[in-house]
Amino acid sequence: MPELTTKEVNRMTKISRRKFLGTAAGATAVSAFPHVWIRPAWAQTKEVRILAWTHFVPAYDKWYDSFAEQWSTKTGIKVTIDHIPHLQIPAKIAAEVATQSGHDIVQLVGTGTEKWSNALLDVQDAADRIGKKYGGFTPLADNYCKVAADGHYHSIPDFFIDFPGLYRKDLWTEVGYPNGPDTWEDLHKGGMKLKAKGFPIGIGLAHHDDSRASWRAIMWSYGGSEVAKDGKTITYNSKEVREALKFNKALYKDCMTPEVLAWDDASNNRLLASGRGSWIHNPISAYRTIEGSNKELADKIYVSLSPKGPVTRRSFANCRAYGVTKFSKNADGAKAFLEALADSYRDAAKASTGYNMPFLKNYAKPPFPIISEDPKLKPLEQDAEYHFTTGYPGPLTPAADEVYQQFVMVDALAQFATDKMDLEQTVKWAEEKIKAIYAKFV
Amino acid sequence: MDARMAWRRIKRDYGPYLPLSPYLFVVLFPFYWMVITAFKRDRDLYNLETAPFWFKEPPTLDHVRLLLEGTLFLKWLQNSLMIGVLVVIITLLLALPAAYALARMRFPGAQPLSTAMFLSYLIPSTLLFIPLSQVVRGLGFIDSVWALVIVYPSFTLPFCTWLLMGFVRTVPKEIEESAQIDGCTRFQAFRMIIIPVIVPGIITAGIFAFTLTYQEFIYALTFISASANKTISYGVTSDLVRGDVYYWGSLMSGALIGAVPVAIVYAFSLDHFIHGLTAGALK
Repeated sequence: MPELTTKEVNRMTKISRRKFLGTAAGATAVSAFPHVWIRPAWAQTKEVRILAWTHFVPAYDKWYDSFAEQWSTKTGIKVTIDHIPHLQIPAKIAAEVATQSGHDIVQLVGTGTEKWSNALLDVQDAADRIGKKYGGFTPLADNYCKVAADGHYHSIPDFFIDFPGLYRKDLWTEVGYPNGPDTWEDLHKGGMKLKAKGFPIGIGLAHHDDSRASWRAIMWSYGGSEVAKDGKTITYNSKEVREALKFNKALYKDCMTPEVLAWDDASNNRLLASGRGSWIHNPISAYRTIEGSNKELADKIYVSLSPKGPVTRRSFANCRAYGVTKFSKNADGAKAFLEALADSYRDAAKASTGYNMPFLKNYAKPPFPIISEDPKLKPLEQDAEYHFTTGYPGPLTPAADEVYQQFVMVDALAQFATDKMDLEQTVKWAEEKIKAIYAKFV
Repeated sequence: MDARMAWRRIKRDYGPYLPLSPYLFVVLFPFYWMVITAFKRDRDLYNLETAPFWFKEPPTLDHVRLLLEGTLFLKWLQNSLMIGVLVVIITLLLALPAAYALARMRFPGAQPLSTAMFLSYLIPSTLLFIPLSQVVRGLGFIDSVWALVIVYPSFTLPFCTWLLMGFVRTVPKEIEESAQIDGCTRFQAFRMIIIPVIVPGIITAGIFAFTLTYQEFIYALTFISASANKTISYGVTSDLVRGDVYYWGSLMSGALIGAVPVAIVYAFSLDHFIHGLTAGALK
């Protein structure tokens, strides 16, 4: 019996903790239940649900949300925009396609129209209406939104993100380039001197978006490409690609530090923000952020065209378009919303502080909102002329997308630049990888 | 002589902490970094010319303000806590009888079943999220926190069952048999003998379930879209990483405030870890 009493006493001493935990759990569950159980109103009303990235300019998302609200008031169709980081959007779309349920409109970030074409509606009718009003779409838009199988738009182009050069005017003036480097060769010559002074340039050489964009820009500017215009013939094993690879290796060794091998998309922004970087290849987001946090440094940062190569000037466009899902319960409403969004491009570009670049020919002419008004950003007026995307000069096929997603070119260059492979081994290695990927889609 | 005495005293008092210091550095440094980054001005954070481990410019509350006023952080915190508590309850309710059955009852296939259960824990969520999304959709829980409440036990249950099996096995069978000789049914013996003895195990399993749930990302990303339904791990990264711009100060503030509930849970349960597991059984 005394044992029993001890147990009871023990239980009595534990009761306060148990009671606390039990009460806390119960209270949480009870307070949360009605809140989470009530189904959202969209289940009963006409609605358009949009999956979009979190724009780097918070003010743009605010503008976008308020634009949607105004459109909603006008049409009576409720609009819900879910903002998530761009890197997570493909996983989200994959899950929605698997369940055949989810958003009416999904934003395709970087790639996606071809890849998800089976799950996206043909929106050629809406694209035609928009194109007619604004002088048609640029070839870049065609490349990004048209599906090769039927030649139709399966997404509505929204904007592209450009890759110009951001340079420190004070530093480049010291080495004889007051307007920044205009050619890749200038970048190499000036970059060498600036690295010696403790101000390296920065292009990531790792698995992230900016790396696969910037090194493609150089390859194209040297006349090289992974694939021909037909989107099928592999052209990586070429003199132009070899020249580009040799230049890239020199640029890495002479003008950068090995930290670029471990970078992510934000790293070059940080290099410039630290005051240690002299030039980066990046959208103006890096400049805008510094403007907000370090005005003194921002005053020294200028924008130039992406450098020209020995053959031409080419840069990489990271595109954004909207697809209407086949499982949408309000496809007409979704298309109407996208048409209204295209009508408001100038307001959108303004809200994005000049970040969103146009896909429509009439919008792609100066004066641009923000860009044309700011002498520093004026070079960006030419961006639509020389920006291309994955698969260039061919279409953005699923094969081109996979080469892009698997970082084949970045890995090839990283191995060559760090002396793990010689030039011929590098070209052979990458060509085999590219061929194997393209063979899967024949 | 005095100096020698003082040295001895220092050695006696602080010597035992010496082997602990590398561990403390590794464990506490991220928290330290989190705290100073949460209150550092951006210009100070990016300035490479000063020591990064302290403030050069006066600390700021701007990042915390952005987190609390510019995002739905408190709502995400509430969602995470609620989901965590519910998942712990579901997990324990299901894992306890399962662990008891697998540890105590002899039935064909018990051993392979327990191994298979543990192996299922090793399947990564990146492979499971697509099939699970079909289940969630079938139940009508897409974009609801209930989606997470029902999905999270898929990875907390196998682990907690496995963990609790170990605790159940350490309870001497004789105690349970004595209870049954005294008239208890098997269920009564389980409820009145086994459960009180394995309380430290239950708390450990509960804490693991809570922390696994609290930090989960991929399912939250897949099944939740509306900002008001996000959890803390997903909400903070989705709203404070914009393109190639990371709001480091606010991200660190979010991580710091988000760590508080976990710290409280651990603090509440610390004494149970310290208690000997079978001390109660041997009394």
